[in-house]
Amino acid sequence: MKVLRPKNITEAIGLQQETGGYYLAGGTFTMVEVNADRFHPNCLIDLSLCEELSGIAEGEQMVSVGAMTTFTEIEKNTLLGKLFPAMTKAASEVGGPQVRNRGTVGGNICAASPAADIAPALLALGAEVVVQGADGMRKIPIGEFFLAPKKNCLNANEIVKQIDIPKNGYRSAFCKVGKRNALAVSSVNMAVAGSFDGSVFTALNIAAGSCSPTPRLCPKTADSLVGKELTEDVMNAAKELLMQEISPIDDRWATAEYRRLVAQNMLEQLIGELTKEENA
Amino acid sequence: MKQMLNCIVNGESVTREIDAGMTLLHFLRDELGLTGTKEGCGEGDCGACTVIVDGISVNSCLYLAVLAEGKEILTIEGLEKDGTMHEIQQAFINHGAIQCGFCSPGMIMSVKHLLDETPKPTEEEIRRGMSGNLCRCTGYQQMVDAIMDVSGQK
Repeated sequence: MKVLRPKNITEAIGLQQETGGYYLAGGTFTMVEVNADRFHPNCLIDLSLCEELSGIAEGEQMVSVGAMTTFTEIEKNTLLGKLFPAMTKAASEVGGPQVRNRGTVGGNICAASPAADIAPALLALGAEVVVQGADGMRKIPIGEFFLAPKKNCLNANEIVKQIDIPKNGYRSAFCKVGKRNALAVSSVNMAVAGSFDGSVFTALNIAAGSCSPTPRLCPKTADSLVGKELTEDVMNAAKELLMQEISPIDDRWATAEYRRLVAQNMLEQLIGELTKEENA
Repeated sequence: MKQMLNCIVNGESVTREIDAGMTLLHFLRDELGLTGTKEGCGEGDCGACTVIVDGISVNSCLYLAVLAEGKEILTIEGLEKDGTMHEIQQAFINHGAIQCGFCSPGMIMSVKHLLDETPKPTEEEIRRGMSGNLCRCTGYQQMVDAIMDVSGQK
């Protein structure tokens, strides 16, 4: 195996086309597969020297997070913590400190695990993925990025450059349940984001992970909570809709039944968080 | 395929020609004979392989050695100075925080990183700082006590 270290994206894409190799970000997914002998790349193209992929930049309408930003960097970023608390909370719960020090948001979404923690946060916040490849640049709404477990929508030469998150002024919250408090793959995770005027939601997104083949928005559930007083009946109806919008399975981390129950409880808890006075 | 690696390990310059696919873990253990760092799982799930690269704690089993080019690596062997244990190592010994010892090098490196970032951590911060390292023997309490002690708290 070769390891190549391009200095910029253009060089990286050229190398990928020449070698048929695979891009490497933090390695916290790829190297697991290599070590376990499940993945045998002829060539890894390390992206850590490509400066265009790093940094967090605030624009007028959105914040751009470079694809090679680590989860530790996201967790600690005060701008992201202020504008998008669901994102920093999600980042803070990935793996453990050592994993967060290397794992990147770009690498994580490309690995496309159904249980990816940052994904529901990005879905609820309406993020867009900016991608560069041999045919140029394109912007992909995060909801179109995940196709199936471990399958993203990119072609082989495309690199995630950055993730753009719109400054909607939404409140947001995130929750993860796993078999342990750390170093755990999510059994269920969920993010909510929206605007609340003190008595009703005027906008709301709900995204659930580890409950379906891909992390997924639950638009019917969210719409059912907009513009209404949040009575017990309204919440119960929303939970019913949530059950229609997720399709959990039994696997080594949880049963479908457990996921259905926890997802409903999580929905209630997160909606409660968003509507609390102190979150205004 | 062979590639050159130049880095600094425990303060000393190292230059070697290695297999490009070699992890930092195997580089330290097999190439340099620094066997303090352990392989517990090979998949970033236990922390036994933790070392510090340019001030950041990482799982060396998931870190390709060639990516350490030009970087400074600190391993458990680098904590001891002229036969004197580092205060974290001594505190672990004093508080009975070492049983089988297999998790200890990685755990101590994570603790070093924690205290470098947060010199007086709360108990919650301590447990979070250790959350990337598994111990099957101690139940962690003696480690928490050791860290409170070494950070001049309690």
